[in-house]
Amino acid sequence: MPNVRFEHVSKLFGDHVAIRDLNFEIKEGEFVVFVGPSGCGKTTTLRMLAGLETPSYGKVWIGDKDVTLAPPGERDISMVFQSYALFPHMSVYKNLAFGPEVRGMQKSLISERVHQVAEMLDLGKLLHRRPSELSGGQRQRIALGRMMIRQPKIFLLDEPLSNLDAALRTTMRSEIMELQRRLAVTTVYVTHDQVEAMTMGDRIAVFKDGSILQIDTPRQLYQNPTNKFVACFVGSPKMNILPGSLSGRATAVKLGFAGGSIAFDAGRLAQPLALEEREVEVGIRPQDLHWIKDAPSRCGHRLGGVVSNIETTGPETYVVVDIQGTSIVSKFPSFPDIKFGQTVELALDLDDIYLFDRASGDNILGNRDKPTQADTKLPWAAG
Amino acid sequence: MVSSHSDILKGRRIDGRRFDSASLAFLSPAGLLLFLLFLGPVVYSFYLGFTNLQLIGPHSTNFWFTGSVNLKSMFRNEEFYHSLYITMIFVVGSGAIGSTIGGLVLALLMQAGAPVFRGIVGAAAMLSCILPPVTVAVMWHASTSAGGVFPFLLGLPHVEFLYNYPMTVVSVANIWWLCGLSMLMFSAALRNISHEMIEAALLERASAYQRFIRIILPSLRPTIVTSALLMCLLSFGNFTLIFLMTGGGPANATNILPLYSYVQGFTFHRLGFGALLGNVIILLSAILGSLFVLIGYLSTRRATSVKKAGE
Amino acid sequence: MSQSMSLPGEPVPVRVLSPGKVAVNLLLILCALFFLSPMIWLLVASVDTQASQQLEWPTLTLHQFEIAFNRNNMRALGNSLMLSIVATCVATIPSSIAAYSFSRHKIPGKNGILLSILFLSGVPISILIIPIYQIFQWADCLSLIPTAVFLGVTAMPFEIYVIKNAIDAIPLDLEEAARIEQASIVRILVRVIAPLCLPGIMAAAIYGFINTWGNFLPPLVLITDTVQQPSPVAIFGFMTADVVNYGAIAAYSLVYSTPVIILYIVMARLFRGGFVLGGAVK
Repeated sequence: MPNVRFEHVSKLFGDHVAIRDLNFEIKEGEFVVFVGPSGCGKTTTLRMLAGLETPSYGKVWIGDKDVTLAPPGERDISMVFQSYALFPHMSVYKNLAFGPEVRGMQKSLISERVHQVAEMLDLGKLLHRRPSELSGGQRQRIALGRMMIRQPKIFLLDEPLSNLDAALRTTMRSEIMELQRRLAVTTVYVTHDQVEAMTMGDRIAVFKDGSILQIDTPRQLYQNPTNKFVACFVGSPKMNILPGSLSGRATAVKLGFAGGSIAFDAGRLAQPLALEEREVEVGIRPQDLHWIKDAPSRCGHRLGGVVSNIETTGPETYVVVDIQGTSIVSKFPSFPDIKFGQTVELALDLDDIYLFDRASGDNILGNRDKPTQADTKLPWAAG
Repeated sequence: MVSSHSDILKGRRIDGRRFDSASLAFLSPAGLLLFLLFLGPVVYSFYLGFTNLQLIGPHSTNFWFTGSVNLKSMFRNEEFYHSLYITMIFVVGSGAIGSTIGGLVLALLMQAGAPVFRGIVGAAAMLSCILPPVTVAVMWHASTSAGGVFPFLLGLPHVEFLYNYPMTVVSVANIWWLCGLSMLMFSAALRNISHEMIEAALLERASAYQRFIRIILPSLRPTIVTSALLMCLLSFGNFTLIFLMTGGGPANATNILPLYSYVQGFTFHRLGFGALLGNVIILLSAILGSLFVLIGYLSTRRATSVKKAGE
Repeated sequence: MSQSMSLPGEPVPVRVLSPGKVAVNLLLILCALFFLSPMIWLLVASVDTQASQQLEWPTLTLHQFEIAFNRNNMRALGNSLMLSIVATCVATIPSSIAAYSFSRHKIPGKNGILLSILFLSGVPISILIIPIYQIFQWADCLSLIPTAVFLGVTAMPFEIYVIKNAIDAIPLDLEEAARIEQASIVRILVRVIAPLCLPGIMAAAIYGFINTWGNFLPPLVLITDTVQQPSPVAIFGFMTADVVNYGAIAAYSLVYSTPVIILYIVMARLFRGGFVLGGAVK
């Protein structure tokens, strides 16, 4: 029994279509992340799940109940707001106790629960302070505490870490993940940060312009993105996109890009090439473009260009190379011996490239299932 | 996953704009009271202005609609035009113009002056505008009679200022009472003027006069309009001050419309006529109010069009 | 030990006085004189046995204050108190509830209605006297309490405006969080909204109180029984009597004005104290 189901949900604000025909399911105990650029509809969808917004069309199910028109209080969900929404005139204790008090829990029981939750979140000594006296990280934990104290069916979190500094963000990220693992509650988490999404989610829903482009595990999003937007959104630095074209038919297919033309294995295409010529876009991640002096032996294909920028982050250096008028980012070893304006040669393995239809942006390659360089750094790659 | 717009977005929306019936419950106590004791009487006053209602006498219980009798009587009455004239002087001259300029000058002086004087003048001006009107009237009545504080300070201790120059004294008293509020508004607005703008002007060797005309005054334009409007309306409502100081005299010298209306209604018992004068007041304040809003709107429009031309 | 002793370089002279500054400060002194002179008269006359409109050295006495505190005058003050308290309640409670609705609910034509309400607050009360007199006479309520209700209603437009602004400043998030916790609208109003907009409500209430306390014309016309008249009407009586006792009037005016001054200071403190929203939003 799926825990959450959205069925043909759309939302209009006036005449503007904010959410367009959303259909998805979330399983019990799953940690799903809604990610996408600002204004893409991820927060609106979360709020429709919470009951703070009503869909214009469609149905929302929680468990086996149709909750489309149910008010928030009847959905057995709890939420952490982007602004935390802590009651400023109440102490930490009263903030946490608010929900249980509303539901008429006994005082002794409330006290027990509050202390339990406070212990779990290391808020025990702060129970009598006011939120205004505490730091951002502490207030964030109070918001988490208020979310947890009720033991609902679903946790909702709306960009809870976006206003914390980078170091705190990484700490809180792992704390939230650990919490969710321990409590095993279905969780929906909204963020605009794709790194956060990739590290936290069991599955990630990539939103754009009011629709979900793809909802999949991080690995699938990385290796088999359904279109160019997802491919460029996931992974940092962004995937490089070069214009190209496919020509020929059946088995004799040629791929032309970056001033050259090479034979292409038509079996890699999801569907056989319908037309003689097809405009495409070639995608290649910076990590898969190597300096000729540093490339693994499997990288057979060569590209040449002129260095236009060098960006060092310490352990890595990303070099922007101008190839036939397109800027390509490629990963070089740390502090390489190259200069601006120098001509360099890059090498890549053709197996690492992605192909997208120029018009629709859809990924036209079939599914691949091979470990990439990045795999080894991510926790779910172990299996 | 992206379907065509038309086939999924058909039918009635389920998030239709439901007028929250709770809002009726929330608004009705206030709404009821306002209708019964505020809006209703205003409409009733419009009706009464055209009747022959009296305070006591035959027409206090039996009164009826008399059409334009009151109207004609009003227009034929010399005192009406006189009252209209001095009302304008009081409300626009002393109120809108006098208090606004006074407040502006005060705010500028305070900004440039020594902190100790700033504190004293600020407190004194604030005190003057929060005192009840009756107290202000008492103070000014005593201070402008022969031998009072102001005749004494001006070196003419035996002159009955109040009796001889009633309109002037009352206007100055009105300014005295309203200045504090105007000063408060301008002080806040002056604080909001970006200091960097002034510094840029200083770098261009602009004199104090040029800085005032070119930078400060334009930034204060909205405050000037708001202040003028507010002071105008407050002066209209300032019945107490004049009534207690002069009673409308001597010989109708300070008989502004609100007093004229009261005297006609409650001293001469002509309630219908008094109501008509009240209607004139409503009309006047509506016209003056709209005029100020219009001036404000036009001047900001001119300012933005000048800005656009310069871009 | 002055630190400047150890610094190299010639000290730069500091310009203290300039003709401009002198002129400005002189003008300020004149302004202070302008504002303070009538007030000084009031203070002096209230403690002078032979008070007149002249500002003269007082023959100190507390006798004037004794008169000010006599039975009739105290009764008038009590009437003022009753008038203001009733008016404040009549004004503030419905205004708070209406202000919440204006702030949070969708109401057709809301902006137009709000603008009209703001406009109403600028209407001079004297125009309402005649129709209200008629209505009260017909309903036989030319007395204190109905007048208090009327005065409360005249303060309502401004109070609605002030309280609505205070509620607007409360983030919507807080109410949504409470709704998720299944809180009813009443509980939200009492536990969440009211505590946070309390400064605004108090400021509006103080305005209503001060507005009624200082009102002269409505009580003059609408309260026919002299026993029920409030202080402003009493003072008017003193001023128009055959024998005018300036000292007593001054003393009584001082006593009558003191509550207003105190309330104003309280209101100023409320706004300087700021609002309790720190910590609610990050």
